[in-house]
Amino acid sequence: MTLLVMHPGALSTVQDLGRPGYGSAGVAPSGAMDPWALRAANVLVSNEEGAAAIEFTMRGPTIAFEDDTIVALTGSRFEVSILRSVSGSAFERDVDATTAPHQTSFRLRAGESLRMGATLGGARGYLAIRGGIDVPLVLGSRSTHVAAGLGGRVLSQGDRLTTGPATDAPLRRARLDAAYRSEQRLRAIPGPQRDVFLPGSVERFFSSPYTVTARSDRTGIRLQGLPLELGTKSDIDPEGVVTGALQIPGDGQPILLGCDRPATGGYAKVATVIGADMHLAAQAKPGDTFSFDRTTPEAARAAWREREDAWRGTIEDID
Amino acid sequence: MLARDMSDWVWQGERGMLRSFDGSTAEANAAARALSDEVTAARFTEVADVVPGARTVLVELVPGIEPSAALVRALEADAAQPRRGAGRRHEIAVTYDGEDLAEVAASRRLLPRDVVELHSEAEYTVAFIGFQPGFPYLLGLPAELAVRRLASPRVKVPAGSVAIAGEYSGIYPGATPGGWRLIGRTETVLFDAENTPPSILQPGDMVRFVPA
Repeated sequence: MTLLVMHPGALSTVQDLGRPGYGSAGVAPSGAMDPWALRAANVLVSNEEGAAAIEFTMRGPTIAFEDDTIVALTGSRFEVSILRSVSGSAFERDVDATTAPHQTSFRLRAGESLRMGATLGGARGYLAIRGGIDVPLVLGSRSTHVAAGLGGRVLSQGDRLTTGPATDAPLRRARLDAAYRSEQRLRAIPGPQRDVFLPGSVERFFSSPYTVTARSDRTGIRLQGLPLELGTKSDIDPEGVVTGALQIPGDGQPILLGCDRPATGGYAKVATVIGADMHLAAQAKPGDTFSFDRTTPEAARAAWREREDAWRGTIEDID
Repeated sequence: MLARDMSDWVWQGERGMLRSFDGSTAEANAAARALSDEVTAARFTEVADVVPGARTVLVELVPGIEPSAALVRALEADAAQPRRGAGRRHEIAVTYDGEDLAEVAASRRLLPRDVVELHSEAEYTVAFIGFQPGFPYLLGLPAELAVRRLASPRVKVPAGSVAIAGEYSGIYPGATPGGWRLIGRTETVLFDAENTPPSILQPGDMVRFVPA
């Protein structure tokens, strides 16, 4: 199956669940910023959960399908229309943008295009296609590290992508709770650098909202709010960082590290957003706010398992 | 010499177990590399990644999985004796015509050729690979060449740039934003995702720069 990128949208990339395990070579994991949405999209079209799909941001791509296929849209809801090209002129099939299929699989016929417009919710949507996007594996993954230009693909106009072999596995249903809120509460674990911040500063961080700025991407979500007060300079000896870490550079404004983060960082970190909440952060748009709630590593791992179990419980075959 | 314990390990999020070592950067880094090698070799099933830093090791757990008692013991153990002579030796040809060479020289009251001599006569240890794919942090920079990073990083540093900042020398494998002072460039390809391992330089390797 071949698909043609008619318009790339604001930023559309090929992502799977990333390439963990190469931090010692300086390689960040990349992968879907909202991994649950990517997994859900794949499940709906009967791909393996970690198959490569398209992550799009704020304004989606327009993609033409050259063969019959089955697709699913997850993550935030975007304006969607299905275009049918007849002898060079495009006619819109009767699909209401706000009620286009979301979180369910649907068929597209050869020659049809899927046009995603502006987001109707959060920052990111996912398009899975039966068979998965087939770009070369780089260090075990088809994910795109946008900043490093490593692996995957940043979609551009005229790109042709092919899919892998489709299985004849039955289609499935799965249910993900809506993730997007413009005022988001995120659970975070304080540390690891505590002593570089002035007394009371970390407490104030946990009781003040922070606004998501436009200078946010897959590397990091830059926040603006009450600055963290540094007792010493914010530079530390560079150390390995995790996705979700909240780095504090010299101006005291937090940067929430995303999937294309550096492998190591030399700024002090005030806290780390837990894995079970990072998909919420991934949907934030400029102007939205985050408030942080303290939690513990043990509770955070339990929260991940709980979410994993709850999600697995919703998957069922469609007969 | 063994690095003294700075602390126990601490959590970075619910998956990151961060062990730090005290002492000089060279001592602490040697201890961090030794622990990193040990944890990597033990192939703990709950471990997704092991990342040495300047004076730390970050062990990243598989999501939702608890650390085993054996892993916790490894992170709490005294600094191991670093392996000696395990690293490979590399010679990297450099054309010393970096954009910041003259300014670095002036700021240290040296001539550009003194900077070249100091930089190319030193022997460096790969402390860790970080920041971007294949970017080596090299310890062993002569103290005379210690310079601060640019106050405002360049938007794009050319690939292959040989640079210095603080106590490190480094090489930008790909074109990225960066704030280190550029003193030269190399044609040596440092990172190739087709290779195993993808980074030519490994923590513990020795590097010399040879003026081209």
